[in-house]
Amino acid sequence: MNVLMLLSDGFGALGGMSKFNRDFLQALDASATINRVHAVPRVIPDSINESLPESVVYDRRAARGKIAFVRRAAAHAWYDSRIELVVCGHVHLLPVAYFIARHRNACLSLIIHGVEAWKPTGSRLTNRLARSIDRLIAVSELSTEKFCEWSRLPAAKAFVLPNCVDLDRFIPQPRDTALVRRYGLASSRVIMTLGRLESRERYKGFDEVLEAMPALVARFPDLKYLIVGDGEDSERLHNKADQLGIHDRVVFAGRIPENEKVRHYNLADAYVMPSMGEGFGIVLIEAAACGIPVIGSNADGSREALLQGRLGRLIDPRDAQQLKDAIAETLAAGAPRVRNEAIETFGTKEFRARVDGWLHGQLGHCRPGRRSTKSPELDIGHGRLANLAGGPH
Amino acid sequence: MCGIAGVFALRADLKPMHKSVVEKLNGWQQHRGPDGEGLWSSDDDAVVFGHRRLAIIDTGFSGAQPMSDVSGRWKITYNGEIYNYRSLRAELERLGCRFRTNSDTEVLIAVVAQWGADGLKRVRGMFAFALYDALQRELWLARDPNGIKPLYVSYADGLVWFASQARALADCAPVDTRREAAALTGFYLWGHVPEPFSWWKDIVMLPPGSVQRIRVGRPLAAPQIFYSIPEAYVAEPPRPIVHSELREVMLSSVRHHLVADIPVGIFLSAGIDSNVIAALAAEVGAKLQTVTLAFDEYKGTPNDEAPLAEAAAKILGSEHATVRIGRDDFEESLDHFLRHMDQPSLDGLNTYLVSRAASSQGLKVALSGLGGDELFGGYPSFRQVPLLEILGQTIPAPRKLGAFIRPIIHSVMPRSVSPKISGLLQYSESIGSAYFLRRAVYIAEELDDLLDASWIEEGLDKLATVKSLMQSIEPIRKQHGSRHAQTSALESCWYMRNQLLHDADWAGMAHGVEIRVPYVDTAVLDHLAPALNSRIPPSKADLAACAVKLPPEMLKRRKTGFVTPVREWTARESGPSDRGLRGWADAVHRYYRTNTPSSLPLAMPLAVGAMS
Repeated sequence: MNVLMLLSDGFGALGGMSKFNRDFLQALDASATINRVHAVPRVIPDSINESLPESVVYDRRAARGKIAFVRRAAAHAWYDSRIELVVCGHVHLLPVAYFIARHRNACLSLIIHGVEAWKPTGSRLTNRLARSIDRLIAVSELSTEKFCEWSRLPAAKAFVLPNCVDLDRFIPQPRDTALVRRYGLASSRVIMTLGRLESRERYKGFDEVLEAMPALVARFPDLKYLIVGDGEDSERLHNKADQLGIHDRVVFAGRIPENEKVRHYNLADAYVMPSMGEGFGIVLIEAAACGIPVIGSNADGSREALLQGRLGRLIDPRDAQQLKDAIAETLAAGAPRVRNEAIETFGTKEFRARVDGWLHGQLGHCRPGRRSTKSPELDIGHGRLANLAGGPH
Repeated sequence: MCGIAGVFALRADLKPMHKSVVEKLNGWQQHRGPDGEGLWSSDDDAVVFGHRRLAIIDTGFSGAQPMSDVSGRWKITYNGEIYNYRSLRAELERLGCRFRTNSDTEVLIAVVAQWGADGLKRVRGMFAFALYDALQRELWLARDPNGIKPLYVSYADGLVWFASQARALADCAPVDTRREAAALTGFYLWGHVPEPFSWWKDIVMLPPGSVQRIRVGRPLAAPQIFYSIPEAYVAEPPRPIVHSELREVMLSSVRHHLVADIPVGIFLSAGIDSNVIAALAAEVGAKLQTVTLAFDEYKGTPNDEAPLAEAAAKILGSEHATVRIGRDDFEESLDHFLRHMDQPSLDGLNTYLVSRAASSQGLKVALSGLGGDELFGGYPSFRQVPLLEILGQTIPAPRKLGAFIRPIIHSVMPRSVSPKISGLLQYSESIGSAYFLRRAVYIAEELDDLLDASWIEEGLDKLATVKSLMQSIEPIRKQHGSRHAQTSALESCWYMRNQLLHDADWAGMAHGVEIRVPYVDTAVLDHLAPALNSRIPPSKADLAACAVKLPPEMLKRRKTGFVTPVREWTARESGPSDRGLRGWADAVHRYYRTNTPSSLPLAMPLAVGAMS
C-alpha cells in the first residue's frame, strides 16, 4: 500500500506530536503491508541528522512555507496514482488531506492528539470535513470521545493508538553527576515537570506545583522543583516563583536536547504533572519507563497514560491538598527506583503491532468517501507476498 | 562448492572464544553444504574456521575441511573448485611437494605455500578461501578473478569475520547490521546490491581477484589484486581469433569444468550458449545429463524451450529431463526463494528454478551457459552502448544539455514509454554512463520519489556509479581498446558479477547445486581477449560453429534470450501498474525491509561434528 501522510512536523522537530508522527512513520515502515510513504511536513524546525525509515520519503521542500506545502501535497496527489491511504497528521491540515484523498479515491485517516481536537476548530471548513473522514486515530479514549462528540463522527471509525516510549533508551539510571552539578542538585530531593512553557498550554500544571512548593519545602527542606522546557510563559513562572519566595528552590533547565532527556528524568525523585488538557501525556510514560514515581492528573488523557493508576498516582489537579499529599507521600516513601512492568503496554513493539493490526484489520474494510460505497475495498498488500513477511520487530 | 565462515583476532590480547558464533554460521550455511561440517580453531583461539561441505572432488573423509597441509603449517577453509588441480599437483610434486589427499583443496594450499599470491594466477577455477599460516600468524583471504564465489568480510573491533553469505554474518556475528545507504540506493539503480557493498553497513565483499593478508599485531592491510579482468582485455595486442583456436579454447574449458568425482549435469535451454556447452561436453566423452526448465504458460508456443532442448539432447545422446513449472509452483516457492536470496535482487528466479530441477534429478553439479553473452556480444548493449557514446560525442556538453531537457521530455512523454528514454542525451556522455542507462532499473534522477534524501545523498556519493564504471575499464581505455571490448568488460565486471554470478551462487546453493560456468574462465578470457579487442570480435555465430555435433540449422534458428513468464508472475505479486520489474523491486525491498535476518531461520543448526 502506498501512503501519503501530511503532518505538522516529525523529523527534525521536538515535542509530543512530532514524536508521535515519527513513531507512526517508523511503524508504517515496519509493516509488510506498506510499500512506500510519502510524508509531507508543514515545518522542519531543526536539521534532520538521522537516516529515515527506508520506505519513507520525507518531502523537505514542502516545509519551506504554506504555499510550498500545498504545492507539494498537490503534486503528490497529481502524480502518484497509487496512493491508497492518506494520513492527515493534524486536524488543521484536514482540508488539504481531504481533497487529495477524494481526488485519489483513497482512504482518509486523521490523527488527533489532545486539545487541538477536543473542540471545533476555528475553520468552518475543517469542522464540516471532520465528520467525513474515513478513519480516526486518537492517542486516547478521551480525545476520541471529545472529537466524535462535536464532529458527529461514528465512534466505530475511531482507533485508539496510545503514544509509545523507547524502552531500550528510557531506562532507570543513576543520577548524572554533570547535570547534578549544572543544576546544583547535590543532596537535594527533586520533583520534576517537563513541557513547553506556553501561556496557551497553561494546562500542564506548572502553576499548581509551584503553589504547592512552599508547604512541601517546609516539610522537605532539601526539595527542589526542576522545570524542563522553554517558552514565552517562562518569565511569568520565574516571577511567580519569586513571589512565592521559592526562587532558590526552583530550577529552570530551559530547553534540552533530545539526547539529554533520559538523564534529566533520572534526576527526579518524582515526576509531577497536574495537567488539565493532555491528550495523552507522553512525558508520563517516559518518566515511568525510567522508573520514576509519577503523579498525574485524573482529569485528562493522563489517566489513560497512567493506566487508570496502575502506572502512577492519579490526583485531581484542581485539588491543591491532594497534590501536596501525593507528592509528600511519594517523597516520604523514598521507594527504590524500579520500572513498573505495566509500562510494556507502551513499548515501541506494542505500538508497531497496533499500527500493523490497524492496517490489516480496521483499515482493510475502509471504503473511501461517504458516498462512494461502490468502490472496492482497500487491497492490503498485493498477492501472497504481503502475507509472507513476518510481524513487526 | 561449499559454505565457509570464520573469525580472526587482529590483536594478540583479543582471545575470542568465538567458536560458538562460527558454529552458528556453519549452521546457517548448512544448505550450502549438506554433506559435512567442520570446525577448527587454533591453539590460542585467535582464529576459528568453519566449513559446510558439498562433496564433489575427493568425496571421502580425506577431503573434509578445514584442512591442513602435510607440514601442519597451513589451515584452509575453502569454497570452490580448482579445475586444473591435477596439472598443478603434478607440477608441485616435481618441485618436491607432498600430498596426502586427492583433493583440490590440498593443491590450493600448496599453490600458495609454494608461489605465494602470484600462484593464484595459475589457478583455473572459482574460489573463495581463508587460509591461516600458523608460522607467520597470518590470515589470507582470497577470491577468484571473476568473482564467481562470494566472500563477505566484516572488520569490527579488532576481529575479522568472514562467511560465504552476507546474511549469515548479519544474523550470527556481532557486526553492525544497520542498512548500508549505498546498498539501498544501489538496489534501486541496478536491481541488486553492487559490490563491494552489502545490504548491511559493516559487511563488505572482498574484491574479486584479490588477496588480503592480515597479520596479528599489524595494521589491517588492503586487499591486493592478483588478476584484473579489465587488464586481461589489453594484455596482448588485438588479433582476431581463428575458428579452430576458438573451438580448442572452448573444448578445453568444458573439459576442465567437467572435473568431478560425481556426475556433472548441464542446464540446457534452447539458447546457443548452453547447447554449445552440451555439444562440447558430448565431444570430450562425458556422460551427459541435461536439465531443461519449461513453463506451462509457454507450452505449444514458440517460447517453449523444451522441444528444441529435447531435440538437441537426443542428438547428443544425453539423459535428459524437462521439468515443467507453472505459476502455482512459483507462488509456492516464493517464500523459500526470497529467504535464500541473501540480499535483495531482482533476478535469480530462473537459476533458482533450474537448480531445483537439477537437484530433483539427483545432480549436485551443473554447467551453465552464463557468461556467453558477455564474451560473444549477445546483449543488445553491445550495439546500443557504443552508439549512445558516439551520439554523445557529436553533441557538445551532452550531460548538461541532457539534464536540462530531460525533465521537459519526461513531462510530455506518455507514461507507457520508459522514463529512461528521457535520459538518453544526459547519459550519452561516456560509455560508462551509456552502459548504466542500459542496465539501470531507475536512473539517479528518479530516486527522489523512492527514497529519502538522507539515503540518496550518502548512497550516490558512495556508489559514484558512472565514475566507478569508467574506472573499471580504465586499463582498456588507456590502451585505446575497442568499444566492443569496453562493453564486454563492463558487462563482465558489473552485470555479470553483481547480478548473474551473485544470483547463481545463492540460487544454486539454495538447492545444494554447484553451478559451473565454462564461459567465465580466466583461461578462456586470456585467449579471447585479443579477439574481443579486435575489429572482428567473436560472435554468437562463431560460437555456434564450435558445436560440430549439432546440425548448424538447429543453432541458427535458436533465439538468444531466455524468455520466462517471470515478469508476469512477479507483476501479479507487486501490483499491475508498475513498469517492468519496478514493482517487483518494491516488493523485494518490502520483504527485506520488514524481515530482520534473525526472523528468517534458514536451516536448523546441527550438532557440530568433530572433523577437525
